[in-house]
Amino acid sequence: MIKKAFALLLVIIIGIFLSATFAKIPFGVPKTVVGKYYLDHGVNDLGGVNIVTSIVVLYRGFDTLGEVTVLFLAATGLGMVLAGLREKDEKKRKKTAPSLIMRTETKLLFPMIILFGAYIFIHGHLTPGGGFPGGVVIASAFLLMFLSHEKWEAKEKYTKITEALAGMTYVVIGLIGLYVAGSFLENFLPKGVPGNLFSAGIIPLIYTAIGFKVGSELTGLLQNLRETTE
Amino acid sequence: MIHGQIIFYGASVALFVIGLYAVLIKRNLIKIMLGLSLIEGAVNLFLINIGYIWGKTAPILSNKELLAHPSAKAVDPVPQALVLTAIVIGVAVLALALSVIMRIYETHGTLNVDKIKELRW
Amino acid sequence: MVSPILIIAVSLFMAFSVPIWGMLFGKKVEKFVPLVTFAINLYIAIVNIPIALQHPIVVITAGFKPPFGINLTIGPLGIFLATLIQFMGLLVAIYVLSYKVPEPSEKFYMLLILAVMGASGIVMTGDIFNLFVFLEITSIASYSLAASAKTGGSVEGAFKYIVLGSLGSTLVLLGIALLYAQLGTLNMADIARQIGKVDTTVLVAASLLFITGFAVEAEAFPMNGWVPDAYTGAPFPAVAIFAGAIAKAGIYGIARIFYTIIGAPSYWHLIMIIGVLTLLIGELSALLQKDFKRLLAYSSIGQMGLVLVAIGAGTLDTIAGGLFQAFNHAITKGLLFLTLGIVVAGVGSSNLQDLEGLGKKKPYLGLLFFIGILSLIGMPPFAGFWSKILVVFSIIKANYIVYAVLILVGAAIEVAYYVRVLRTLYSGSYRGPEFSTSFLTGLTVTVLALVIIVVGFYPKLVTHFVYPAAKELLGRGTYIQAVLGGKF
Repeated sequence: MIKKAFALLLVIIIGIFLSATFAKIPFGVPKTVVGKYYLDHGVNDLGGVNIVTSIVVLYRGFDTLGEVTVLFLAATGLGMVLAGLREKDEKKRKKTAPSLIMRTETKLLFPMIILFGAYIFIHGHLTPGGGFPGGVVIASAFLLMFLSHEKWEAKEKYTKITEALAGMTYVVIGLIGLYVAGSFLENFLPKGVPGNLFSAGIIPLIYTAIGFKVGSELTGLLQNLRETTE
Repeated sequence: MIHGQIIFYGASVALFVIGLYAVLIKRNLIKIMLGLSLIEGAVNLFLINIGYIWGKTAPILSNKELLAHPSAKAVDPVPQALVLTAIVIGVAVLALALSVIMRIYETHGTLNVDKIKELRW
Repeated sequence: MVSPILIIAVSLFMAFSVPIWGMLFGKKVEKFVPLVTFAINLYIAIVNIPIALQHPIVVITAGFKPPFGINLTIGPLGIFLATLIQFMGLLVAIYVLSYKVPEPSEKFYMLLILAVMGASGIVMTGDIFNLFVFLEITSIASYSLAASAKTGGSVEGAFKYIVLGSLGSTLVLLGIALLYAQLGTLNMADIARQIGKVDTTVLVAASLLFITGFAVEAEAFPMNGWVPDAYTGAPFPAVAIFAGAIAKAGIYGIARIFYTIIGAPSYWHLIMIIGVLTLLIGELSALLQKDFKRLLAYSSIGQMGLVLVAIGAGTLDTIAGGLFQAFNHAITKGLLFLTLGIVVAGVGSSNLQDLEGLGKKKPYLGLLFFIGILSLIGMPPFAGFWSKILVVFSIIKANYIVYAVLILVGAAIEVAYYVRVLRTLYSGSYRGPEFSTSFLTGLTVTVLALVIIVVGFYPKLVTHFVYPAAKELLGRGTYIQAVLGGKF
């Protein structure tokens, strides 16, 4: 009880402290500095109309490489922590067969969802989306298959190789930038006409690599989680 | 414009304190993680809000009018890019934490902090 | 000139490619990947030392000048810590060649590479949001390393670490958001240049958020609850990385933000207060421990507290002393943890009772413990003597008498429990099982012991780096000018 009161007091103090701080920050008024530069020069600099994408992949591309690494780490760490759990639970697993409708429909949907995921990451420089959502959509196709087909599995070997190759491609694109254009992750392809599919230099390339990487990572992650739940 | 500050920043503060309360008080490991996710959500919401400008649109310059005067028509794109990164990081931590919780459940058969010796603090 | 950004690129490439090597050349090759990676990185770091000592190296990414693109800014402090971190990584990589790492081993190697990469990224980056990304990389890699032993204690320690760590990094993110909301930029030099424009309430809030957030990695009070459990549960190579690389990155984060970015002496005192609390709590808790590994974990907290006090005092000598102490902490704790790893692999327990008489049975391992412990408690002629002397005298000179007294109290407690450890090691007779030391693990710890002795005789080897580094922290104008150009 005392603990609860103490926690409540702490939470209230922090709440007041945060409110007092946030009160000093104006809302809804223009205060962009670096952002203004990105908006005004983004299309000219890079040829992509989706400025958020341009920031994520090029202006702040180094962050995105880190972000990909974080996801990779989570998948690796999860595989590390859960390794060995799966053998034990194999026997306990109850089998409830999914219905016929589910099995038939997922088979039809599976390629289409993959296609949609690919569409999202290929069009990352034109529309909202990009490599991360695209990869997640692809992983969701695999999730559907996991749910509907008990025996069906994504072989760990293949997800691992795809993941490794996609990650290495990303780093290599960065290194080509370093040696061809002068700095790590710099654009070395023509910018094209803004709004076209083939534009924005290396953004589509990087997003394709990210799409493959995120898709295979999350699939591997789901596979790991599936094998351990009954 | 003060009402915007109260509503949008207020929501961040509310989410933050609810999350913190859950982390401090809840005894269930999964609920503690939920609390942490709420705190993260609060910070992401705050980040998105500081980039917002009244009456402006998303920074995707898909039509001519926008392309002509981008910075007069579109909101600050940087916080949106940052939030994209922060969300992915949040998901990664959550996935890892859940796998650790599964391990703890396997060894102790419970998710209650009070019943797990080492976790009391 | 070899671009320091290659440290990041090479680490990432190698970490991603571990499964490919395994598939092409067989599983046995995988364990050499960290070794190759850290060797290349150490080379890159060493090549860049003379350049960075002259003038901060600014490396741009994606072809955009700061503040529009992310840049790496590597001054004397950055290159000193990056070299130290990669050196520790290399030694641990040699150590794991003949150490039984938790399965699946290829994942352990990836995590090892990325934890070290994240820590070196933290000390090199010049962008505050990028700092957060690297902080997350480091902490997620270390959560996984902490849980990798998969025993009950290991996963529980890891869970504590995850809760505190992700809370801490969220607070750092909130601090970054506050600064961005006021200045609209994320480049550290650009923020530092305009810090005067930030509202005082916001600045106080941001500095509190930053110090609490980085305290997790720096093992500082009140966010260090994870340290004893995670250290006790994690495998020994991982613990050596925690103490040798990750704690250093945490210290760097605090120092960089409070000195270069905020730059106002009134805020530095906060670091000292937190440091002295950390020091006393760590040392007092260590006094009660019966398990050697746990004792070393608490002692690690105490040492990091000492580093923080010294860095917070804010004169050239104290900061240099603090960095020297941080160097010694990495080397000495690395030595003690890795030697204990050899012992535990043979004895099967790190309980002090089970180690009774070990020093007589295994004179060489005993000698290594002896060197490490004497250096930790600050005995000449070992490296620890110089850093402790420098810290204590410079703090007295800076007129922080109370802090100097508290540091001496902490040191006295430290002596008390380490003497107890030494007495256990050299008294009674050893009753545990027979075991032998493999060549490579022995080599690693010997190198660390040699470093302690050599630095003990030639402290100039380290002071040559820590003084320029301290100067860099105090002279924020040079840093800003190096990144943004123009006058400040």
